[in-house]
Amino acid sequence: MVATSLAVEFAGKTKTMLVDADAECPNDHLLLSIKRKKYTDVYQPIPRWDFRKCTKCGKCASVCKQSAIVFVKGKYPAFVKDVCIGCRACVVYCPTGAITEAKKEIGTIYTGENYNVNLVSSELKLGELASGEVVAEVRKCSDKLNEKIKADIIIIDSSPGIGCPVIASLVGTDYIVAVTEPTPIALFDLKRVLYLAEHFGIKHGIVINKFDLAENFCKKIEKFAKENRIKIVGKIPCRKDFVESTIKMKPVVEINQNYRKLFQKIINQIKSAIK
Amino acid sequence: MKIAISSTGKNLTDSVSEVFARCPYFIIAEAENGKIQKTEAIENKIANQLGQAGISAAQQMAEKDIKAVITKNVGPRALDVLKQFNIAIYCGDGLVKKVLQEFIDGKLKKID
Repeated sequence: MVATSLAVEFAGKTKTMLVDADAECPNDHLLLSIKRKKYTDVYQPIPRWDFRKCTKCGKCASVCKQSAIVFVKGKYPAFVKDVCIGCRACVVYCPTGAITEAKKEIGTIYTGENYNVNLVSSELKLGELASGEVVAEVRKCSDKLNEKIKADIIIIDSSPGIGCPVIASLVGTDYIVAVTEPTPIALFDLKRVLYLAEHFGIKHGIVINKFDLAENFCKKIEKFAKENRIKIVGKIPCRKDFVESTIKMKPVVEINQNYRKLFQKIINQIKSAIK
Repeated sequence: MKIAISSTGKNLTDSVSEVFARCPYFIIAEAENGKIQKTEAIENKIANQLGQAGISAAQQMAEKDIKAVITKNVGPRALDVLKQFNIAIYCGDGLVKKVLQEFIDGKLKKID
């Protein structure tokens, strides 16, 4: 919600691209009622055996960290396709060169446009594991598309947490907006993601969503931010307008113009931080 | 020919388990010339494994040189690995004893 609102606000004055990097659960196209068009599929390498060359040594299974290769003495290895994350260790390790690379589809990248926002959206295929790989691919695609669009700002809507897809979303960015909520679990995750931002040396600020839901806990986040000299760039209240905006599939500023000030304030703080 | 049946207990009077990889016991039977020569019950140690039980169970079947598996339901991963090891999968329901006879009589349906 924060990413789409910021994108709509940016798009009023500058050319804006929004990258939905939450490949496991993309929703930016829903929040902006965009009908996405398929841009490309995302593939991942998987091994393929040539059993004429295979000596049934089992080394491929021993190096597979995902346990996607099942080896039983005296038999050819069995392969579980959906567990494989495409690390290629088996291809490298096979002493007889019996394994070559094939590929499997793991996701799709879509594009679309509404409210002047150019959206590039990624979606992981059901049951697949390598969301980081899909996010890395959508970043590449957005860079390629941007050669034509020439956007002044690219907003990347990352998935929560600090896993592979989040790392793939954060690398090479100028500023991280860490969106949190006044709950213990959100604060715990916030600390971890800001540690990550610190590690990569990326400037960052905090947005507290639904801050008035637990004012006492909100003070805890503010205390943490002060102690670590991290700026709180915005506080978003908990209002029914946001629920309504989701239901109507419209940006919240279309429901209530008053929120423009709030998001404009966040944008101004980000701009001054990057300068 | 060695056959494995996913079972709810150790005996032939127990029933075929609803699930394959997470069944409490496997009953291993040796069939020769249309007769059951001997049976043996083994405890399924991977029944409580956190993940990928299907893969481990299928691997165990291949290690024991099982040629056919009888169960009520089988997961996609276990089915995939069993097939790759050329192990036939049959669907059976009821008492282990009865199902074994049905297998010998060729009355059981294959799961693909």
